[in-house]
Formats: sequence, structure tokens, C-alpha cells
Amino acid sequence: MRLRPTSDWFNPMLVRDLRQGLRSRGFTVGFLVLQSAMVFFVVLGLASGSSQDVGETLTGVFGVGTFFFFLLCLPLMATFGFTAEFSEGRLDLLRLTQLSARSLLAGKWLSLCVQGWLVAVTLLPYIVLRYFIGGFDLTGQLAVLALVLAFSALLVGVCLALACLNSAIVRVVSTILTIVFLVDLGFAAPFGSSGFLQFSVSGLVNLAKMLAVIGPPLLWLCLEFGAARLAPAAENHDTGQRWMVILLFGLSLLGHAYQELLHTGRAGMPLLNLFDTYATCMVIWVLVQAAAEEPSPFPHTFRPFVRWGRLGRMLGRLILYQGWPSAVPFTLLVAGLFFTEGLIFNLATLSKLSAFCALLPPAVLFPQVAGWSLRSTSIAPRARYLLVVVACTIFTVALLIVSSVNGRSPALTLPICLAPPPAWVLLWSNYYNPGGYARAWSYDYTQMAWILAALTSVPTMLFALLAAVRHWPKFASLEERAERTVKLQPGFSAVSPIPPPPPTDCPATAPTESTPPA
Amino acid sequence: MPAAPIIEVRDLYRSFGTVEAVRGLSFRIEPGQVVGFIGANGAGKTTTMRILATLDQPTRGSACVAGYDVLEHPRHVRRILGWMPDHFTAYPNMDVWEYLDFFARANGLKGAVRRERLRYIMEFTELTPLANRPSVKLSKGQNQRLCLARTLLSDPAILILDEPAAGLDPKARLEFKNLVRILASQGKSLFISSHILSELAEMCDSLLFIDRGHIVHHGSADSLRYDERAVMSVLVRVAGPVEALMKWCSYQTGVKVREEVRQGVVLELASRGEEALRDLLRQLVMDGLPVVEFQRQQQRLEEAFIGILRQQAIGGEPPVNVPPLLPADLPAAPPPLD
Repeated sequence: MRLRPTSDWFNPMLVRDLRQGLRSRGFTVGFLVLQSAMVFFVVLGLASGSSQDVGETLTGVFGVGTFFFFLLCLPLMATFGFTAEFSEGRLDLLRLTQLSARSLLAGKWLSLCVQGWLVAVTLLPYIVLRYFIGGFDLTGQLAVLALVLAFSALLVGVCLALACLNSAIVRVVSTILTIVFLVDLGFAAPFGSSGFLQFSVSGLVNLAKMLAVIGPPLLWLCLEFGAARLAPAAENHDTGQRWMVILLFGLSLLGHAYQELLHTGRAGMPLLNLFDTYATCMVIWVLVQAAAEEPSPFPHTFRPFVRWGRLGRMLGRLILYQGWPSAVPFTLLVAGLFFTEGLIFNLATLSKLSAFCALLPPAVLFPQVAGWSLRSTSIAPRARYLLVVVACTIFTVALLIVSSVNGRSPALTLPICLAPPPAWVLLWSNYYNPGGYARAWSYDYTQMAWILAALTSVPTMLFALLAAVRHWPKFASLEERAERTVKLQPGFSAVSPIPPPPPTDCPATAPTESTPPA
Repeated sequence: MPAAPIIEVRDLYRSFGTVEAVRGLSFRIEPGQVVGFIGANGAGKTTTMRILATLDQPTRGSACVAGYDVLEHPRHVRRILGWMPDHFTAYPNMDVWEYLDFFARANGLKGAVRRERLRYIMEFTELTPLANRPSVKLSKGQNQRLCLARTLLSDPAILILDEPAAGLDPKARLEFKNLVRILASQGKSLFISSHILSELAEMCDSLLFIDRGHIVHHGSADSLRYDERAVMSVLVRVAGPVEALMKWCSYQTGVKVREEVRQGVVLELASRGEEALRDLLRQLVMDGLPVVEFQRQQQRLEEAFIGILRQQAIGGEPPVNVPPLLPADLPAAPPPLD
């Protein structure tokens, strides 16, 4: 099959992946198996004589086939979408083209979706057949297919983001966990037993609403996360993700305001709660990313900020520049926003709200602060962050086991208080009520939150803030270099001829090492 | 006023953990030059090239391509630079034309311009007959030509080729060399790394030798072949028996027989310079020896390279910066004496 006269307007990755994907063995075999199964069961059903039987058989086959292909095969194809690019060094060649990492991801995502849509089109005759033979509701079936396709597109996006992780083990494990999380938290928890799997009208409507509300930001964030992994070090994807956090917060605020001011009832609350749950997860994800990120040594990433003068610089240093120094105040800001929103709309009890907001910044920043002690070694910054998280987890689990066995032993008080910020919630809950770690968030933390926050969170935050402020002279030097080039290079178009180089000499030295904190 | 360098590297450092791959590298390449980059495995060639191609970032120091700092203007650098990696794998389930078409699109070429560029590049690299062949089923030589074609799609002014001739058979190597010559004649600047010194010498205007992250020599191939510091060798052939010549040599001071060849010997001279050669030839003729061939022997590049490394080893740490030589500064190679 040849797809040669393709339009220039298509994303090059879409063109490439369609050319490749439609010829790949995986797609061909999957497609043929699905079609053969459909034909086989139709013939079998027709041979059985009863139209009701035929309809039921087709329903089963259709359901299993579509779910298998769209919710398992396509996401798995996405999970391994970049394996070859990583292993055979093709990524460097892509990085040198004019394609941005976002285009790469978007093209890949679109090509997988298009392959899914092509398969869906071939399934339409069987749906129509069911209408004529089994007497089924054609509109409902088409709606189910459309929703499955939409959910599949979301899953493909998530899996593509995870496909950009270097480690194959991490990639596979996180894919499985994410799919389980998405299906469970996204469908089972909010909609209960009348979930989408039963194809009830209310379930389908809820699913459609959920996809409409959660889908776009989650998909955008996933693709952005993947793009950040694929992009050359010189590209800044951190700032975009932080804008997304602010946008999510704004949407949540609007949703609650709408709910409170215009609707007295609680009809839309499950959806809003679901959005809040997802938004909180996404926000924490972005904050962790930002905290683990090294500051950019590339002056051109500062150009968009220095164009705005002093205001731009301050905004950059405080919340928007790439890397942990600006992530520290940004995390504080986000925690403050959460707290304010929670207070205004009574989203939780004051104790829970304060515990969550007091915990969030140190929980996010503690691994980075603790990781600075490992700075002299050759461990990469992200790996260092992960290492501290793993160490904290092991410490927490060990203490949980000890406290479950020993009950309320006074000897455990100090280790629990000195545990890393997110861990002591579980530990303290278990200390007072052995086995109660599963109900950690139902515990009342009014006093405990502030005592433990003072013990661990405050030093962590102070240390992080001090280190961040100490990094500002480095920012200033990069801003200065960026400002120089802003004046020289007002704009750059992809199709314009290459502008003349700046009349400055190649600088004698340009130290690019990130700053070790105090 | 000298032209601005097309590549300028100053005091470049790159560390991977505790390993310093590049240590204080400095050199400059003038526009239109073809420069060979030579060094043993792990000397820092690929790291330097990757930094220039904006695929890696230096720990310290600076690198500019066409006046653009690779850290400050990576997008500009990528637009004017073509990079050909040492290892290259095409995409499965795609033919040669589709592969190049993808990269042409990815480089922002559209419509008729893209089609024309593809046609030209495929003809230039002689890939037109292979247009419909699966890109993963090409021979090594064809694969290299495909990679070069991909590099040339965006018409870069500077080409960085990392070990382009590695693993090629002699015919493919010759074809590749011809392509490089044509590109050089088109005014493109080429920066080529290779282990095959003799081949680089034929293609390059100057050679950069790198060892343990330092530049240890920057000059033309001829300046290495006719290194004044090296021992001078001369091939002398005579008509008739060679014994007379051998006997004559045994009476001479400052002349040593290095090797006996057919109808002659290779002599090593204690003194250096053209005067010593002139005096030796005059003496041979005056003593009545029937000399039919008298030729100064070139030093083999590999030997010269090993010699440089040995010199660095004896002298301890190599110098951090060897001042780069401009073409005008290069010593002119003496013509062979016949």
C-alpha cells in the first residue's frame, strides 16, 4: 500500500507513521484477526437460525473485539511507540529537523488514533448487520463506539507519554498502573455499579462528560510530558506545564463558582469532584516534574521573559523559569491557591485542608533538598530525586510494619516525626490506630499537622527557598545574555532566510553547570 | 581582514560523571574548508561533534557555528548544519523515497520545492534507482549514501560527518570520497572524523588530531608527511648491482641504510633540510654511482600520528591549546626531488 500524494499540511510524523504503521505486521495481523473473528461469528450466528441468538453472539464478539483492540492493543502499541527511536539512535536525527518535540508526539498520537479510526470504520458494517439481524439500537451502538474511540485516544496519549521514559521496566509498570488508575478512578469510583461497562444511558452520558472535562487537559499534559522527555535539553517544556497548572486551577475555581452560585443542588458534584481529583493528580505530577528539573543553562529559554522587562523576570524567577529554583515558590503558590479555594468553597474540613496544603510543598520538594547531599556523585538529577523517593518509601513501609507490630510504642514517636513529609501522615495514622493507614486521610490532623509541619516541612521549605534565592545571580547572568540576543534577534521564521549571526564574538567561556545549593 | 570562522571552539569541556571526554578543546575552521578530525576511540571526537550539532551541551567553554553559539542559538545552528552520525538505521516498512520524503517534510520543505529537492538529492547521491527499495534492505554503502542524502536535504552550509567511511568497501569508499569532493567544490564546509588517515588526507584541507580530549595537532597532511622534525629518508636506485651503493654508504658519515629495496636502498639522513639532500645527490654523482632514481620518502600519516602521540606521552601532559593554524600559516610542502 502506498500513501504518496499526501498533503503538505499533514504533520510529517503522521505521514511517516501511517506509511509505516499500516504496513506493520502488528497492525496487519490485528486487523485481519479482528475481521476474521467478526466474519466467523456472523456466519456462525446466521447458521444458528434464531435472529436473537445472532444478535447476542454479535454483541459479545463486537464488545470483546472492540475493547481488546481499542483499549489494549492500541495503548500497547503506543507504549512501545518510541522504543526503536531510543534504541537505534534515530531520535537525534529527528531532533535536528525543524520538528518540535510536541509535533513528534502529536503526530505519533494522531497516527495511532487514525489507525484506530480506520479499524472502527471497518467495524461499521457489523454494527449495521446487528441492527438488521439482531434488532439492536443502532444509535446507542454508534455512541458506544464513539466513546470507546475517545477513551482509547486518551489512553493512547497517556501511554505515549510513558513511552518516552527511557527505562523499559518503568515504562511497562507505569503503563499498567496508569491504565488501572484511569479505568478504576475514572469510571468505577465516580459512577458506581451503573458504570460505563453496563452501557446504560446515564453511564454513557457520564462517561462522555468525564471525557469532555478531563480528556483535553490530561491529554495535553501527557503529550507535553512526553515532549519534554524527547526534546533536546535546550527546549523548555517546564513553563508550559506550569501554565497548565494555573489553567487547571482556574477551571476548578470556575466549576465550583458555577456550582455554588448558579446551582443550589448537588447534581454536578460527582463530575466536579472527579475533575478535582484528576486535576490534583496532574498538579502534583507537574510540581514533582518541576522540582526534579535542573535549571536551564540556555539563555534563549529566558528570552520570552526578558522581553517583558522587570515583570517578566520576576514572574520567571518566582514561578515560571525552568528548574527547581522557581519550582520552590511556585509550589508554595499552588498550595496557597488550593488552600484558598478549599476555604472559599468548603471543599474539606479545615484540618484536612490545612494538612494537605501544609504537606504539599515539602512533600514535593523534600526529595530534591535531600538529593543535594548526593550532588557530588554522578547520579543524574531526576534519578537522585527518584532515589530519595524510593528510600523514603522503604523507610515508611518499614516503620509501618514496626508500628503495626508494636502498637503505640513511645520509641516510635521520634522516627515518625522525622519521617519525610508525606510519609508521616500514614505513619501517624497507623500509630494511633494500628492498621489504620488505609484511612489516613479520614484522621483529624488539626494539631498534629502543624506540629509535624513545623518539625519537617518548615526546615525543608526554608532550606529550599534559600537555595532558590541563591540561584538568582545565575538567572541574572543568563537573563543578561538573553536580553542581548533579544535586541539583536527580534524574530525568527522557519521559512525566512537564516538571519545574520549576532556581531558578538564567540564568548571565551560560558559556564553551564547548574548551581549546587548551599 | 580574515573571514569569520565557520566553526569556532574555545576551551571546551565535557564531562560524563567523573570522566572528562573533552578537556579544554580549542580550534577554528574557516569557511569552505574540509577538515579531518582524527583520534583514537574515546578521544572525544563524537562528543565534540555532538556538541557542535547541538545534541549535547558542554560542561564549560563555548562552541560557535557560523557565529552562532550552540547554547544560545541552537535552532539557528540546526538550520545551517547537517549531521551524519557514525551509526545509522533506517525505518522499517518504508522505502528510500518515503524515508527521504519524511525528512524533507520534517525540514519544512513543501510542495514542488520538496519534490524537486528530493529528485536532485537522489540523483546526486545516486539513489534514484533505489527509490522503491525498502530502506532497511540497503547495503552498507547505499545506507551511507542514504544518510548523506538525508543530511543534504536541508542544504546545510556546514556538514559534520562522523566516521562516514567506516565499514565501507573500497568502491563505496571511493564513491563517497567523490561525493565529498563535489560538496567541497560547492563551497560547503565539511568536518569529517575518521580512523582512516590516508583517506582523510586526500579529502581534507587540514587535519585536527585529538587525543584524550585535547587537540594535539592542527595542520595539513603535507605538513605531517614532511615534518621537519622527523628523520629524513631518501630512496636511491642505481643501474646495475646495488653492492657498490651499499659499500659507498658504509663509508659515509651521517647516512644510514634503513632498508634494502630492489635495485636500491632507503637511506636515513642524520642532517635535515633540503641542503642535505642536495649534498647527498651531488656526492653520489661525483663518486660515479649510476643513480637512476633519487626520491625523498614521505612519512606515513599513521606513523606521524603515532609519533605525535609518543611525543605527547614523553613530554607528559599534552598542551591544553595548540594554536590553530590558518591555511596561510601552513608550511608549504617541499616538492619531491627526482
